Amino acid sequence: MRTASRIASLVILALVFFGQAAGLRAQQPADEEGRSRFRTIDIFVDSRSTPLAAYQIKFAATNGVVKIVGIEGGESEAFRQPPVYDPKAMQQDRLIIASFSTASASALPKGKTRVATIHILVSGKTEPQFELKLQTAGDSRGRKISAQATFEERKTP
Amino acid sequence: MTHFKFLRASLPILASRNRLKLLLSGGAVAGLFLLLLLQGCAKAPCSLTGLPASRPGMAPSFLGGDGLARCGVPLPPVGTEEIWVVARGDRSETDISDKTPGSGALMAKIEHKEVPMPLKHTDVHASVSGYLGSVEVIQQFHNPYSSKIEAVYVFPLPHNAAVNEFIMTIGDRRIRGIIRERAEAEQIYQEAKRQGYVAALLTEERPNIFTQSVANIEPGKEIDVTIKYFQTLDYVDGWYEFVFPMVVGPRFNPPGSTNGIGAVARGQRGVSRQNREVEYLRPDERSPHDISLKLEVEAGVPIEQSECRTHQVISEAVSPSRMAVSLNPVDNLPNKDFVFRYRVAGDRIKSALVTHRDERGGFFSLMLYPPQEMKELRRQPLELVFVLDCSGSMFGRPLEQAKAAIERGLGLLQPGDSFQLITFSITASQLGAAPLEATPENVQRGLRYLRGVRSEGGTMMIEGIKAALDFPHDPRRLRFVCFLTDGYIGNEIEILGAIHQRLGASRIFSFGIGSSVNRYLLDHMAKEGRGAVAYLGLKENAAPIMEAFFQRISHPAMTEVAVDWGGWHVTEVFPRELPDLFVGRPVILTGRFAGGQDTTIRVNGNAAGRPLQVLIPATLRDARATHSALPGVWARMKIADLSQQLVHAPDPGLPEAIKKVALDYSLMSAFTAFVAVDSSRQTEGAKGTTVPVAVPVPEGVNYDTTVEEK
Amino acid sequence: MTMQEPGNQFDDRDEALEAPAGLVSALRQLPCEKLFVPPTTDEAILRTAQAHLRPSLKSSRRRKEALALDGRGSESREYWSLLTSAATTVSRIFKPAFSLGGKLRFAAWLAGAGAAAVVLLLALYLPKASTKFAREDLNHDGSVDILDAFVLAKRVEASVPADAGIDLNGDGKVDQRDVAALAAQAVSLGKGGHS
Repeated sequence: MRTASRIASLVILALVFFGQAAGLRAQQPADEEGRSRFRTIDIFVDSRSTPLAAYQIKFAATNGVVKIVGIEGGESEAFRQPPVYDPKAMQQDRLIIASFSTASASALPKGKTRVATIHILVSGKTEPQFELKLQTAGDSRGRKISAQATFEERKTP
Repeated sequence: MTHFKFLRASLPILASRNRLKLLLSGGAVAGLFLLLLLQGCAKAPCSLTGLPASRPGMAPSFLGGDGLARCGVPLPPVGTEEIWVVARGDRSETDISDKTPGSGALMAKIEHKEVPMPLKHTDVHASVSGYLGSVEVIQQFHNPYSSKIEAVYVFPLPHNAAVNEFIMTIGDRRIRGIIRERAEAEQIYQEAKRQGYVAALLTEERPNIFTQSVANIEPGKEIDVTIKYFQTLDYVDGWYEFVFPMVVGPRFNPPGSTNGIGAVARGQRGVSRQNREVEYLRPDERSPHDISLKLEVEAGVPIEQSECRTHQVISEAVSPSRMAVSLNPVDNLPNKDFVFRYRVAGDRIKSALVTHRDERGGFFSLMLYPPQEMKELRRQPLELVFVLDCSGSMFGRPLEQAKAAIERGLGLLQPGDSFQLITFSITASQLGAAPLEATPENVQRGLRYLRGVRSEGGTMMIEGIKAALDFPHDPRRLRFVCFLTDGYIGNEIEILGAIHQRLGASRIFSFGIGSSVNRYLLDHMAKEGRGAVAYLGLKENAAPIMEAFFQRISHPAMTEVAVDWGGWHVTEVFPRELPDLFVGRPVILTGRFAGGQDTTIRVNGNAAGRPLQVLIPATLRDARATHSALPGVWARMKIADLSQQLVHAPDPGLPEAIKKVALDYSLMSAFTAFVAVDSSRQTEGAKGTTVPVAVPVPEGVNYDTTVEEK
Repeated sequence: MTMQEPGNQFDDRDEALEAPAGLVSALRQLPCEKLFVPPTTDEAILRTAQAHLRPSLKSSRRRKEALALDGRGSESREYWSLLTSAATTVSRIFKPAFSLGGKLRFAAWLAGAGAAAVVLLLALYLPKASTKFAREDLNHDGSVDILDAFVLAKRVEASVPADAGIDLNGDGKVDQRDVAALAAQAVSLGKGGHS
């Protein structure tokens, strides 16, 4: 009897615990149920040891319902202004962004630098895939340089 | 947390050997479990966070013992306010639609009649090159309250402004907004607001009225919104005119309408039952919102003279053809339009053509000047119909100015002319059953009638339109209908449609009277009426305006204007119907063209029964020169044309067509909007309140006769 | 218009150009005396030609910067490739003739030298209109992109006199507005490139 009551109390505790969990689950942010969620995609260009003065990147989202809701400038003062883009590209949620700085080479970023951030809204349950292509990059003299473009999704706190 | 307390309390019961108690407690726990499953995340909102020195539910009182009247702003109960809760799930109980706006429920500590507002400052940078102006407007929003807010600001821009850029600035971060279909942009904005992200949305209510919404501004934080647009400047008799409107005048909306622009007292949102409202500060209130403005003019030819009659400005001549103008800080209250005019060497202005070509094809803009010989021709007898707005918004100085203008006009009539005087507010009345011959006795009779006119009531402009255009036209005379009004109505579409239907052989000249008139309506009345528009400020002398008008109509216009484009294939020219060419008033045609060869454009027409022709060489040797703003100018005119078609011949395909042009050229329109979201961070706090930015009534407008109060 | 790659005008492996087997066999049976050209002589001629064409080392860096800003760097590279291509072609044409004897060999030498001289003169003084670029392609790399806007921005900053061809907005001057117009074109989905 004593054992049975202890088991019963454990079962009841478990029920309460999972009930709480179920209640919390009902309150989970909408993204876990496939509703709209906002995401932040940081775009980086790594020019290695060469100061980066200009870049042009093609960015596209596929395999999901993605809307671009904002285009932000980069971390360096040279690229703080939001990049230019072709608004018509928004209709397909792909875009070409570009920016340049005429600052002296010493004021330009080197190595891996965040040059832009794309703010997006994702709808539906399918996770979007992103494509990135560096079309051109240049140094402070306007010469084409070899560089690499990458993107990372920022984790929201 | 009550369920944990219950559980803790029930543990001893659970541990007991009493089976009945065990069963009862088990049932209670199971019931609690079921309750948790069904509860969701719905929670009643907590009470609002008031500011210091305020008590919930109490109206704020105006401080200051200077004898000024105290006005209490009764706060609506918490349940009916617009309080939106940052989403915690999909069952928010406060999913309040934007169609039922709430009130500024946050209370403010009001000191010395200054009411804290979310809009701190507006900074304007404009530059004019030739006849094209590009303007950057920076609106600085902040949160002076102790909890999160959404700021909503209804403001004007020039009606021909082509808004093409939108940037939201948070700290040192700048986020460029995206132009999207309006419904889509609004949906994105609402979702961002619901989830707690900082977001901004710019929508168009009228071609000259916009709404800026900024969501999730945290206490003490500042968010700037930058809007860029370009526009063409008006050119009349050698003078270019740059206008920057600063405040939306209180509009009258016909009874029963809901799509107008409501004018309500601060804190009384919803009173007008219109979908969009402007809140006005009472005469003894002011907000800290001020404005700064800088204008650079590059005329391309020497500037002979300049003036600003609306504001105190500081001007500097940088070179013979360049000027730098800035608003004097002592005159920085945004309660009247800024109008700067400058005159260039008029003789040098001739009919001119500018072109642009890109992958979309060719665009052109042709400024048509009437031929010089028109100045030698004399006019026919006139039938002049003066239509005077005597509604409540014209009370005081505006009505005095309008009367002075008509008085001068009556004095300029010539033998053989006839005239009629019509006044309208809620209804229309007129001097006589038919126009009177312009004899001295009849003119005196008209002046006596004019002096007896008083201002009161709403603005049923449609009554004035009918009275002015619905009586038979005298074939011996040219009928000119002169509308004198501030244009403070919310049913512009109905008015323009009525003009279109009734115009016939008449011509409409619209006179905008006031400090912040509805230029969109007045310009379009003139366009629709194939006439012209003039503006008379409250401090200007009415006589010269009317004299200039008579000077213009004292020479016949070039009518039945037709353009032979020579070797070019031209399409989509705006305005669609070529207006009459009046002496001193060029007409600008903008369109598309195809053809790579030089050609001669021939403009043919009649004046006083004589055929006239203007020849304009179109040389493409300068084909490499291109005006990159032209496509946007053309697109803006196409959008305006399609919008006009909506008025005259509504077609379900027109909104889609407008949307397509707007998106193709990245322009604001009634069907597109700019939206920007900072997705990198969700703001703190579960609740926020919508705070409309209250504005002063325009200078010279009477608050008591124009703003609705409960 | 596109540039042809050097050497591909006469591809020995192109089957359409192969002679019939019988003809090849008959030609091989003909008496041939090979003319020996000392390698030092060969190298001397080549070195002299290269020294004449290559920019001086002292000014090369400045020239490269100016050429880069002016967009002419790629033009000098194209001239050099044109010259080498022409020299290769000439040598291929006249190589079989060097195996002839007596007066014919002398005539072949003369003709070959003459042809080489003509090619050299043409390469040096031919008008620079062999390749057309879009007027917005300021660095002449064959595409209109952000680097062209950057080049224009640098010129504007340095107040370098610019020709009216890049007054994109037609306001009579080249300034930041033209830079903005070019940048917008660079990111356009339907941007220009080679004309």
